[in-house]
Amino acid sequence: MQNILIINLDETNSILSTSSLINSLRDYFPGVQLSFLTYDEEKQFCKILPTLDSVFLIENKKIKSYLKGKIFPDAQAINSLEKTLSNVCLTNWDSIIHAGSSAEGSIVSSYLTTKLKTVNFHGLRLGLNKNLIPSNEWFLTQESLKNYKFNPLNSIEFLHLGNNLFYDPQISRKNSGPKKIGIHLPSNPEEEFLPFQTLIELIESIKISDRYIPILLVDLQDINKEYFTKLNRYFNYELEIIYPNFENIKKIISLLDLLISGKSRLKYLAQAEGISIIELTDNLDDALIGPHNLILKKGVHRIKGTDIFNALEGNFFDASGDFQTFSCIQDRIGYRPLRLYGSFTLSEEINLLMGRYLIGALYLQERDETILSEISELPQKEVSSWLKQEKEQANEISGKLLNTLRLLNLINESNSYKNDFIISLDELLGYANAECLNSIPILIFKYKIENSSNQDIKAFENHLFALKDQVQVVLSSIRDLENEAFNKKKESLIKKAFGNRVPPVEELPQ
Amino acid sequence: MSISTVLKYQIVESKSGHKIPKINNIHLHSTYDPRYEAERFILENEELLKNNNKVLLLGLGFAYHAQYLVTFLKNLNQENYQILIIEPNLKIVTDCESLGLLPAGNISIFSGIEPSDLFQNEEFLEFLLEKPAILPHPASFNLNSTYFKNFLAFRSDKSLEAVISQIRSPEIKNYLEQFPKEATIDFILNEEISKNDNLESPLDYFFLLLKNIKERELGRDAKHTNH
Repeated sequence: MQNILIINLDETNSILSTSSLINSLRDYFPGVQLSFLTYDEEKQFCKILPTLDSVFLIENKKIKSYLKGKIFPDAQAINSLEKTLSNVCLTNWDSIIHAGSSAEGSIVSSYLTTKLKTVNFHGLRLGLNKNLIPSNEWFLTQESLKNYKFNPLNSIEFLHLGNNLFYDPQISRKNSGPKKIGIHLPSNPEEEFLPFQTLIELIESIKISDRYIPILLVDLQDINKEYFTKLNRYFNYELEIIYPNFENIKKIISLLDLLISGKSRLKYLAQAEGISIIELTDNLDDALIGPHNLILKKGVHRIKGTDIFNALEGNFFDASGDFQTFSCIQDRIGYRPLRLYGSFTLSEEINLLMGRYLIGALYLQERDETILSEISELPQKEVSSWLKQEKEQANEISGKLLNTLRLLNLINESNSYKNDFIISLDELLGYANAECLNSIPILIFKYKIENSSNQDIKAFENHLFALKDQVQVVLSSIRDLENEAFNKKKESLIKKAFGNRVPPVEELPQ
Repeated sequence: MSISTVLKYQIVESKSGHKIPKINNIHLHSTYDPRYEAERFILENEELLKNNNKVLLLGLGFAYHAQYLVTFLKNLNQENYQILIIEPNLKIVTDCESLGLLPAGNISIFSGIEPSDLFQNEEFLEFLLEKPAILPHPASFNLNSTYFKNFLAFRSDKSLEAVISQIRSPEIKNYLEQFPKEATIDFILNEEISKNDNLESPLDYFFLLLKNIKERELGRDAKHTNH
C-alpha cells in the first residue's frame, strides 16, 4: 500500500483544483493512502475534496498572531509549526507531491525532503541557494512557460504528467429524463459573466424547454439574499435557489447533469464529481478543460443568456455576440480546447496548436498528426505565411545558437571573447519574447540558466547543447507541418484536376 | 509578585441575604443586593458584549456578575460562547465554588497565577487569539489593581534565552543556540534567515517557512489560473 502526501499551501481555488489529481491517484494506485498538508484556514475546503485519509493543518493564523503580537511568546509559534511538521514526519511516505506553486509550499517540500531523505518527490521545492528546483522536466517546463502567451498545456495536465499520470477525468452517467442544469448565481448583479440580464435570458430559455430543469446555485460563503430574492421575484418565486454549505455541496453538485458557471468554486467541485461544465471566462487559461466541457470566452460585451442556451443545445451557429466557444478534445497529452465558434487570430491558433505538438515531440516522443491535420484545414495562405516566418526565425536562432556555442569555446582560450559571448547570448535569449515556436525551448533554457546552482562553463555548455537539440525538434516539427500542408495542397489540387476519379500514378503531380 | 496579600478575609451577608466576600475591609459586591448590582453591571456593558461571544472577565468575586453574563451570552449565542475568568485570589474561587455560587456554563477560571505565567499557558493564549471582550469587575479590579495593571501591561519576553526555554523540540533549541544571545526571533527571521543563501539543515527551511507564514496575507483567494 502506497502512502502519498499532497502539499498545497496556495489559495482556495488551487486547493480545490487538486481534486482531479486526487481522483487520478486513486485510479492509478488502488488502495493508496492519500494525505494532504495545507493551512488550517482551508480546513473546511479539505472536507469537500475527494476523500482523503488524513489532513495535516499548519495553524497559520495562530502562528502569525503569536509572532506579531507583543503579548505573545514567539516560542508558541515555533512549537505550533513544529508540532504539525513532526506529525507529518511520523508517517513513512512513499511519495510527496507539491501540487501548488506558492513559495511556502516549496519551502515545506524542501524541509520534508531534507528530513526524509529517501522519499520520492514531485513538484517544486527550494534549493540550497533559494533557487526553485523542479523535480522533473514537466515541472521545469511549466515554470519556464508561466508567462508565455501561447502556453500549450494547462496546470492540471502539467501536474498529472509531472507525476507520471495521464489526465483522463471520468464523466458521471446520469438517468434519462429532464436534465438538471445548475446555474452559478453570482452575488453581484453586475458580475462580469452572469450579470442579471444574462441570467434572466438564460433562465427564461431553459424554463421554456421541457428537457431542462434550472437549479440556481449560490457559491459557498457567497451571500446576497436581497439580490437573489429580486431575481426570484422576477420569476414569480418559481425558481429554486440553493444556498449550499460545506456539508451538502458535494451531494448537490453530484445530482446535476451540467453546471453553467462563471468564476466560482462550484466549477472545481463539478469537475471532481464528473459533471460537465459550460464555463464563462475571459481567459482560456483559467478554464477547466475536461470531457464534454464547453468554454465560452467573452469578448468586449456580455454573453447573452440565449447564446449560453444555444451552447447548451449544441447549437453553435446562431450565436449573436463577440465571443468564442470551445469544446475540449482528448489528445495524447490530456485535454485541449477546440475552437467551435468565434473570430480568432490564425497565427495565434497555429502557435497554440504547434506548441502542443512540440511538447509532445519533445517529452513524449509523440507527434500528434491530428494537430497537423487540424492546422492544415486552416486557410493555406495563412499557414504558409506562419511557416515562412517560423522558418526564418528558426534559421536566425540556429545561427545565433551556433555562434554562442563557438564563442563559449573561445572564452576558454581568451577572455577577450567574453563581451561578444554575452552579446550573442543576449540576442539568443531575446527570442524568448518573440512569441514563436522556438520561444518554448529558449524559455526553458533561460529558466535553467537563471535557476541553476551550478554556474560553471561546462554546465552552461550542457544547457546550450540541450537547447540545440530542442531547436532541432522545433525545426523537424515545422517540417512536419510543412509536409502536411504540402500534402493537403496536393490533395486539393488532385481533387480539382480529377474530381472523384482516381488518377493513374504517372498523372500525379510530383 | 503582583498578587496582593490578603490581610483580612471575611464572608459577610448582604441585606438581600446573599453571601459576599470582604477582603482587607473591601466588599467585592453590593452590601444591599449583589444580584441587582450584577444585572446592572452586565446591562451597562451590553454593547461590548453584543458583538463578542468570548469574554475575559477580570475578577470573580462570588460570581454574581458571572451568572448574569452566562445568561446574557446564552440568550445571544446559545452554547456558542466562552468565558475565561482571571481571579488572583485562590480562596475566593474555592469559597465561591463550595457555596454553590459558580454558574454552570462554558467557563474556565485561572486563579492564583502571575501574569507572566498566564501568558505561557497555551489554553489562555489561544483564548486571547480569539480577541475576547475584556470586562473588568470594578471591585475586584480595584482590590487587585497592581495585579491587573501588570496583566494589562504585560509584554512577552522576546529574548532568545526566554524563547529557547519555552521551545519543546530539543533539535530546535540546539539550532537557536547557535545565534547570539541578544538576538530575537524577529532578527533571526529578518536578518539571518533572509540573508542566508546556503540553506543546509532542515531547520533553515523551517525558519524560512516561519518567516513566510508571518508575512503571508491571511485569507488569500487570489485569482487562480490553470497556466
